[in-house]
Amino acid sequence: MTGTTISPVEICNKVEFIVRRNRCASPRLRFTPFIDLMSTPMPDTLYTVKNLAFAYEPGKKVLDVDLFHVSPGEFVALIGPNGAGKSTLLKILSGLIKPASGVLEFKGKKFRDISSRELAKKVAYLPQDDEVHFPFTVGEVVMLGRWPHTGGAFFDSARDIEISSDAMKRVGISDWSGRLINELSGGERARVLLAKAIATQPECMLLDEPVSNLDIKYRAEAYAMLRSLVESGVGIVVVAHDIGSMSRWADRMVLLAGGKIVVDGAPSDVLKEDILERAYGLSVKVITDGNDRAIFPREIKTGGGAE
Amino acid sequence: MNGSIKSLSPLRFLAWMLGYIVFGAACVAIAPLFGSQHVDLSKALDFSIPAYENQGRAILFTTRIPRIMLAFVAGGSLALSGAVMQALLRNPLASPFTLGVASGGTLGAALVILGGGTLLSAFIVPGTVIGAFIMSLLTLLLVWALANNRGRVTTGTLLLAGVSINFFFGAIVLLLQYTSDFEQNFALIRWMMGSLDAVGYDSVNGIFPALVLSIIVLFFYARIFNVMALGDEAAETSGISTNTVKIVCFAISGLLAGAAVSQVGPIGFVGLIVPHAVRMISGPDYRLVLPASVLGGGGFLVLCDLLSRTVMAPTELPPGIITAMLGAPFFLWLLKSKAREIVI
Repeated sequence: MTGTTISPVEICNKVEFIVRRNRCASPRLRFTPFIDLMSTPMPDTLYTVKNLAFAYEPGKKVLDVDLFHVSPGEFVALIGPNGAGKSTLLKILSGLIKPASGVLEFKGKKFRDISSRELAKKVAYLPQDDEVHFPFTVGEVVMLGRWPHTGGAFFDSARDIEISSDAMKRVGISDWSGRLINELSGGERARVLLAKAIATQPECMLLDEPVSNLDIKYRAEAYAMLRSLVESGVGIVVVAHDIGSMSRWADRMVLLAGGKIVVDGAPSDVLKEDILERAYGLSVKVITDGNDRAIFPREIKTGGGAE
Repeated sequence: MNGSIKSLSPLRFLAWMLGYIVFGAACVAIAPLFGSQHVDLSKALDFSIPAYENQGRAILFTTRIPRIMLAFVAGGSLALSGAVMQALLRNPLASPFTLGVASGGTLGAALVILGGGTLLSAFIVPGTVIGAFIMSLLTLLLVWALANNRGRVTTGTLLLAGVSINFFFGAIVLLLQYTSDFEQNFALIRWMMGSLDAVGYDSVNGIFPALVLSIIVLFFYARIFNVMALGDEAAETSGISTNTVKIVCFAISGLLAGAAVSQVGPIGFVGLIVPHAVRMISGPDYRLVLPASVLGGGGFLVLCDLLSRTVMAPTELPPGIITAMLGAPFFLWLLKSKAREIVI
């Protein structure tokens, strides 16, 4: 702090933040709480979510989150069974749907005080189902990622073209710019849309199953590329079903079930047999090899769900 | 394959626009030279001959040129309206008529024809024009209201509501036709075939302001349509209020189609195929598709009208027949030769 007084609420928030951060897997983020509390200012948390509830129909809550944070340079994986509310949480973070109640802040600012254009410059959202209509070229689609920054100009600036080209290079699709988007396979399209999201140069990326159509090589490449973005300070929230391979890349895993956060912690703390069994209603075996984990179903109970 | 991104540079934009302007201008320049009556151009434009002795000039300036201008603005309006509908609905089969504008207009005209039109013909503008214009806009409002679900309008419900209203109004028009006498029936059928007959510039003036206004407004929406091609969610998270865009642009599209249909009747096909044709020629970027649709649609309807006046001269064919008979094979050829570039 800069010598100014600090309120008890701020101290509580700070301690809460530090405790949470210390649970991260990334050694870069580990530090001593007390020294940190007194000496360094609290970094800008990207997302702060508290007591947030959402229902598509009145009375039927699909999401009920007590506490959820995303920090810059943090790779968070949202995991959980189908219908647990992962995509809904991601949509709330993207601003697509509005929560019924609770605190939702981006960089300390309440959501309703942020214009959608302002949020679009800082947050890139990649939906689960892509739909690209009409035969745009790959280059044109990636360039659309620059839209929030263009400010309504009729033509693209040289800088926008350069940033988009860089984004394509990052995803390894530099020589696709003339290909037509409707001629690509699902996996190829996913990589193009990832490049589009990177071209926005966001501070936070919200990705809903970005790699589900990719083969193992491109999946590893995509995660490594996302990891490099995280190292440069971007916060990433990914909805993923490949939880085993995710454990290598994510700093934190947030397990949702029935609209509630069940566990929030390092992959080694979350990917435990008893935790997964309760959340998915399935007896599993977890095999660990360094940072990698493989999860095998053992016995499938019909009916599923937490019993 | 080229490594660098080819974006729409000002130079490329101007080059394409120049091409479309030349096409439109050529159609407009050639069309007055032909017709059922031969006009000696040097004599018609010789202003030393008094007007009452110069029959060629009378034909040229009171019928042919107004008619060509009417065809141009009507074709341009229908094509632009279609391009906007396709952008908003993200559906290649969308046209100005998908959301019931034409069937509403036809019902309006039918009601005026059958009701005798005595009330409305008190105005200078023909009663069918007023009836068709009002009904086409009311229909669009009705379709919008039907598709509106707690403040959100989705593409699918809008399309289904439009198609249902098309069938419903179509049935009412058939019922009215069945119960009408021979003369009314004939008038109604002729209206439904479309007509570009114009004496003087009243009809042109009925469409032109709507077209100019739309071009100005849509200039600001061209890039937004590009972003919306990736879906409503992608557009929303890019900071675009898709509902506002839909409301503004459907109103514009309806105004364009309503103005055109009320003056020339439901001339089909122009609004469907012209946006696709320009997309296949110069790409799907709406910064080009929108202005190119105006120029291409205008030129296309002028050409169709030229054919309708000359192939069976001195008999004139309804332009709707020509647009479909000329347009469908051309479009199918384009589809076959560049099949991979269209998404259905």
